[in-house]
Amino acid sequence: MLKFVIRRLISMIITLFLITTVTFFLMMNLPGDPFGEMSQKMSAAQRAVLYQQYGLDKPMFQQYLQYMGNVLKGDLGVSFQYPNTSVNEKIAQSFPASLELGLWALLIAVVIGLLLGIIAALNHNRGLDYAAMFTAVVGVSIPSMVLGPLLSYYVGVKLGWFPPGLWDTPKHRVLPAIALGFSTVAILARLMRTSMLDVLNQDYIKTAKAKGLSQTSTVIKHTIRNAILPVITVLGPIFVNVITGTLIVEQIFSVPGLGKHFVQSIQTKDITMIGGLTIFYSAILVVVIFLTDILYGLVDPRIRLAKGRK
Amino acid sequence: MTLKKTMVAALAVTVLGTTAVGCGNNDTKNSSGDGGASGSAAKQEMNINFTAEPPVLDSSKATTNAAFTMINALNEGLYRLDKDGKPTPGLAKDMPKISEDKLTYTITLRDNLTWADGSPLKASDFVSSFKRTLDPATKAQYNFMVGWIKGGEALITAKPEEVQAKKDALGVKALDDKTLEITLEKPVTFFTQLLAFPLFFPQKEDFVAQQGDKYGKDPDKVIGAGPFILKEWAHEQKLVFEKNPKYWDAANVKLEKFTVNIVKEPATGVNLFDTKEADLTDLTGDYVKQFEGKPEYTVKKELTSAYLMFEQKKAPFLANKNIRQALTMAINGKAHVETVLKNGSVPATGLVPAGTADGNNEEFRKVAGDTQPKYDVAKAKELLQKGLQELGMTQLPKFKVTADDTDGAKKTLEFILAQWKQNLGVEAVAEPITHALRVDRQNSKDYEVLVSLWGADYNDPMTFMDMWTSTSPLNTTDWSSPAYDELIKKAEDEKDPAARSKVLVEAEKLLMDEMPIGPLYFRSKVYAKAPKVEGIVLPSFGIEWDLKWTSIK
Repeated sequence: MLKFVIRRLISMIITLFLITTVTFFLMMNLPGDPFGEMSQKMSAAQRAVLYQQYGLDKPMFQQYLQYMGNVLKGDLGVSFQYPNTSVNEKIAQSFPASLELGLWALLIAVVIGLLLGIIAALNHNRGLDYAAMFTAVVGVSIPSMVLGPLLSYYVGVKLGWFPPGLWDTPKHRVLPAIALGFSTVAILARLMRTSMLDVLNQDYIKTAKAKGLSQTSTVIKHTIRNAILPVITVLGPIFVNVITGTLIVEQIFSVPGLGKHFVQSIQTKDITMIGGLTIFYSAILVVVIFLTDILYGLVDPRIRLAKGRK
Repeated sequence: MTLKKTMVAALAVTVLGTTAVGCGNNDTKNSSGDGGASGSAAKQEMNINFTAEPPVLDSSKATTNAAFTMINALNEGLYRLDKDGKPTPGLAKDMPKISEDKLTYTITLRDNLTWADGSPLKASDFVSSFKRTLDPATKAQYNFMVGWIKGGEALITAKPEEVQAKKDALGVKALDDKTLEITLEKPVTFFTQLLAFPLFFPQKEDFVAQQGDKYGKDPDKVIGAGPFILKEWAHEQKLVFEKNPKYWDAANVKLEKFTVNIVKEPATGVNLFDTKEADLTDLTGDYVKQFEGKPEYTVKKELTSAYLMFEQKKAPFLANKNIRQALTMAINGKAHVETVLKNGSVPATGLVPAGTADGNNEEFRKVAGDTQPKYDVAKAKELLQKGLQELGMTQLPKFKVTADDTDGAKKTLEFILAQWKQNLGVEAVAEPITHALRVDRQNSKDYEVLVSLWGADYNDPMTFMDMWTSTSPLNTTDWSSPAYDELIKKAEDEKDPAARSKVLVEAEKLLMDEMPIGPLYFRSKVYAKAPKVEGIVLPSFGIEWDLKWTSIK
């Protein structure tokens, strides 16, 4: 097992190293000037002085070594758009909102998704099944960039139930969380439904029924508990998916999250910010994959063995 | 079938219902809050949507509209621009005493000025601020105007070992605690007005030194002497300002508190405005139409000019003056602003936008008149034929028109191409690209025709005109005219404002005849403003709004 963990760890580090390297060279070769509009308002001499101050005048490879050294120390550099603020600080400022939004969205998705899945499975091939799956399909077909503005306008302005934007109170969390979580509802509902149907056909359910257990008891104690396992295993990747997919919803509801920095930094060629964000998100993704792999290995020895033999 | 439909509906209602019930009690709180606000005496508070977070509240390092606007709220310069854009004494007691040669400005500060923490504000706080802004180690990007102070340019590009000597030699001195003397490299007719811009604000030296790299980052790392104090700054979310009781003119500041919410999405901004969570928001696209004619509709004319740039080496046929004139003249400016932009922008009648002062107490546009030939299809066709003949061509080769890829810029691009095709039978290809890329291509002369914008750095025609001289790095058209260079040089050296204004008019006439650039429109910006908000100043450049004189009815 230890060998397996070390192997996965090494591959994780190599992945991160490659991502950082590729990102560095891609961002350095992005057309544009990191000083953007301001580059037009500077004399050539002043621009040269600034390039020197930021170390941009050094050969690319030297800049690369320096950047990698800093990244190893956990320093992602200073943003060009935000003087006095390091990329690390910017991530620390903005990530909590993205994370919180992601968690609320996930919670909504899990509660509604599971409910829909359960209702559908228990009413297999009947009206409620179709209705639940229809809702799920609607969820997956309406992207958040459509659902968000609709919620903001109809629920926020017309009905006035929740604020149409901003991020002050718990009330402000509701609409963005729904907008972000809705497509995940569909995935979870379908997964839960299939899983429930599998379990419902198992012998032990028949046994439970034969023993004379009530319908509620069979469903809650035996069916859901078993059917929920595959759902739990996908929650990890789904979680990463949700928190990295907050960009559009953040923009629509003015959530002070990390997503917008992605677009903004590319538009303004804020190279340190682009690099920092890519590394940060990759790290999250890679770590979650690493943990999932290890968990799988723990749960299912076949995975560990198969990989071990190679 | 009907059963299924009912089921679907029931399910949908349940889904929405469950989420709504959970927070139902918060709703009542909201409505009662609204009721309280509309009580008898209006609360002197307001909420504003802003599209961007100020990157840093440090007047040396600020480059964006957001930063200048916030700094202008919490600090002040020697002067403050009033609603007509005229400088009025701010921290200065009265207007500057200007020497005969127009190079030395002697300014006396008001008595008993203090920073927001109560410590005294001295003339030396201006001196240290200007020196810091010009010091290369500060890494300021937008300091060329401060560089007009004698020895300023030399300090901006000084080597580390020369910095101290160049700082000592800089033409700014505190003669005593209340008297500041500024000496310029050469006369700048509009320098008094410049002193109202945040780049020229004072900085509390010991405070700045103490904060080091953290200066301007958080409310406790910012200090000013302006009408408001920054109370709270939740990054990327909101900034909360409160009235500064120690401000010299606190008696005339009515607004007690205002909150700036960072809202990027125009639709959300309007939604917040509609639910009264915002009292001022930007309007773009279709929202402009929605508010047109309503009391909330507020237009701000900006000192921003949009124009086509013709790169003469990349597309040699553009070296022909008649072709450039034909292309510009074939675009219906009125139709452009009315059907495409729809935001109160006006068709260009020259390069310098309406509202720009001429440095001689007049508006430049009124003095100069229309220097740009009017939209005239017949004339444009004629000029095109003439140009083609001169070039020995029968038709123009297909060329690319580069522009930003924002919604608005893309529509403008489509409009221009359609006009050329319809009016001249000229085919061009649209090339929308990201803003950063567009700026880069523009700087590196990598375009044929390009749609560009220029916003004033200061309120004077020169901010639009000196960029087209043959030595200006901003003139990437490969057009050069010794006559134009000479006129600009003459205007720069001219000490008499009236004569200078005349020279500038002449220069613009030459530019509009040669037409290395084809002006399109003078930009405007539209806001929705709650009618209860009064006395808000919407400056035409650099700063989004000034709330010093604002009150809530």
